[in-house]
Formats: sequence, C-alpha cells, structure tokens
Amino acid sequence: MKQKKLFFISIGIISVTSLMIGGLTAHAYNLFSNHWKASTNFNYSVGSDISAAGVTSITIADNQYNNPGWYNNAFTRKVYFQNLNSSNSIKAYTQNYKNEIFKTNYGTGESLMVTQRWNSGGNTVEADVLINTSYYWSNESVCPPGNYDLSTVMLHEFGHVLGLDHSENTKAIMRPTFKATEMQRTLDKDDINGYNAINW
Amino acid sequence: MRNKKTSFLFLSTAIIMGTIGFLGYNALGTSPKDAIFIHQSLPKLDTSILSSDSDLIVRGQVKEIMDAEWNTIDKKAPIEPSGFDVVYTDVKVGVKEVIKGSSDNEIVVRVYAGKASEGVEVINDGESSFENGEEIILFLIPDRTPFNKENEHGHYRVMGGYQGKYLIEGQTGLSKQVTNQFENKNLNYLLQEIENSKYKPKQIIENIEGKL
Repeated sequence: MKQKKLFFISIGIISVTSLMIGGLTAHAYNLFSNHWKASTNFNYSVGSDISAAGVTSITIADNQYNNPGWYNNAFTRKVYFQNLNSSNSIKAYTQNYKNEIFKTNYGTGESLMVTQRWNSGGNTVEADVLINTSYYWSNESVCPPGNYDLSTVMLHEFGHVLGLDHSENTKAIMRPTFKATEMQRTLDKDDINGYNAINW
Repeated sequence: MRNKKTSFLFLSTAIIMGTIGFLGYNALGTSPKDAIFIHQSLPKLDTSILSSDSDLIVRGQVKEIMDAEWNTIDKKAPIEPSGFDVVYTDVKVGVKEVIKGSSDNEIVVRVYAGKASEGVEVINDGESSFENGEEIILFLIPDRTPFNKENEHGHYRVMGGYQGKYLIEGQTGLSKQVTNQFENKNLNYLLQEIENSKYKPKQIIENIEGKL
C-alpha cells in the first residue's frame, strides 16, 4: 500500500518536473501565426528623404537575411529582401500592397521603429516600416552617444517583417528594447532558430 | 521484470509530459491570422529616464476600459486603411496621487490596439495592457504619434510602451511590489527612484531636424 503511494507520488513529481523542463527548454524566440509565403521576394522602396548612408544601413540589415552563407548556412533563405532602388514619398502607413520604408516624426518616448503588417488568408501580404525621426540615428561604425544604430534596429524590424516576434533572449536581435549606442548587426543563434522554426 | 516495467513507465511519463510542456509553451501567443499587426521596437528606458522625461506620473486605478474605435472621421472601419488609420482603446484611470505634474481626478490613457465593432483586429505588441480595477503607476506623455490625427489633447500615452506602466501588488504599504514587463521591485523603492530623477532635465535628446 505504502509502495503504491510512493509510486504515484514519484509519477507526480516526474510529471511536474518534465512539464517544467519541457517548457523551459522550448526556446526564447517567438513566432507570429502568419508570415510571408516561402519563395517570396520582399520588394521594398525607401523614402526619398532618407540619406544614401541611411539606405546603406538598411541594406546591411537585409543582407543578413539574404546571405545564410554568412552563418554557415544555418538557415535556408525563404524570403529574399530586394531593395527596388526606387524611392517612395509616403508619410503614413498605406495598405497598397507595396512594402515601404519611410521616416516620420513619431514622438520621443514612443517607439524607435514601428512595422505594420497586413495579412490575408493567413499570409502576410504587405509590411511597411516607419523610422521615428524624433530620435537621432547613426549609420557610423561606432554609434555616438544619444544615437541609435539604424542597421541594428532595422535588422530587428526585418525580423518582424519575416514573422519573428519578440524574443526573451537578451542576445537575440529580436529582443524587445534597444539602448542608445547599442550595435548588433548580425543575427543571433536564437534568431536563426526562430527563422528555421517558421512553418514556411 | 517489475523494475524494468516501472522504469519504462517513469521514462514514458517524463517524455510525454516534457513534450506536452514544450508544445504547450510554443503554442502560447497564437493570434488571429488576418489581424493588422503593429510591431514596436522600443528604446530601453530605465526608471531614471521614465521619471525625467515623462510629463505626468500618477498612481491610480483603472476605472473603465472603453470600447475600441477606429480613428477615422466617421469611426467606421476603412476598406483599405491608409494615413495612419488604426483602432484605439481608451482607458479611464482614477488618479489617487499625482507624483509629477498636474492632473485631473480622472485621466484617459490611449492604447493603439483593439477590436472595434467592425473591421479587423489591431494587435500592437508594444502597448501596455490594462484590466479593470488594477492599481498602477503610470509614466505619461502627450500623444504626439501620427495616429492622433486631430492632435487631441484629452488623453495621454504611456511612455516607452509597456515600460511606463507598473502594476502594484500586495496588501500592506511596506510589502507592496510593483511589476512591469521586465522587473519586479518594492513600491517604496520605485517611488524613491522617481523622486531622485523626476526634476532632472530630459535625458532623451529630440532630433528636431529629423535628419536620417
């Protein structure tokens, strides 16, 4: 009788511990329930009032997702980022099936960048990225005090464009917040794991 | 033989429950597929910056969460949203104590997210979430976002997204704790941190020229 009791207590302890370990070892990345279809070109235009250096910073970010070879082919590219080399003059989110990166004053104390994604039939069909010009942005190799590195935050926004949500991993580019002067122009393993886990 | 059977049972239980834990965790956060998603990358704001750069800091209680509405002129869902069309939800907060600035007894805090009576849901991952009755400390700024199309002044925004809202928990004054998305600390400690920084000059330098 005593042995039986001990047996069930053991089963209970193992169940709870396994549940916790299973949950904790899951991962830090998070995914959206929707994303672009695989083999899509994410063709985008950049605001005509964004400087050439700013466009270069944006391209540095998109190259991280375009060139899996840089990460020893740890992921297979599913969406190709393509700068159309055409400029846009929009100043507000517009659902027009064109992907637009634009800058506008969004206020201090608000977000650094804001991505808006539209979805249809469970797939993302458009994504626009707003860069908040209330903050100072840097395109330099060393980010000056009080500035935010454009490539770093754009790399994060492109992760949202693809279907990556915020990660609990503080080293991941998909972490939710960024300090001024902080620079990270490459993906973390957690970001790559998230990319690979998207149900393309 | 019996030992083998028991070991097998233990192992199976561990594997099954571990898998359930893994899948259960991963299934969290699923959301409506055709909603409009707004994703914010927030500047990391500590209590010092929140205190110095917010216009109003209050301790209060959520009184009412209003119905979500579109910010269009007729409040109707647009066929194809443009020009910062979005859904907003206003939250009425009863003010118990003004820690910085001046305030009415009741204020309105606006969140750009929600599901209006028509149109798709707007899900915004950087916004604070509110529940009726909760006791909170809020770091507030005027709404300078372009979503505030008419430049209305009758409401506030939480500074730094969900970083500017602390939930007060616990029974007595001394043991009360405050939590936000990133941290948990003693209420009195937070109030002292605010006191130390609220009159400092603003720490975020505004890019007036908007150069990029």
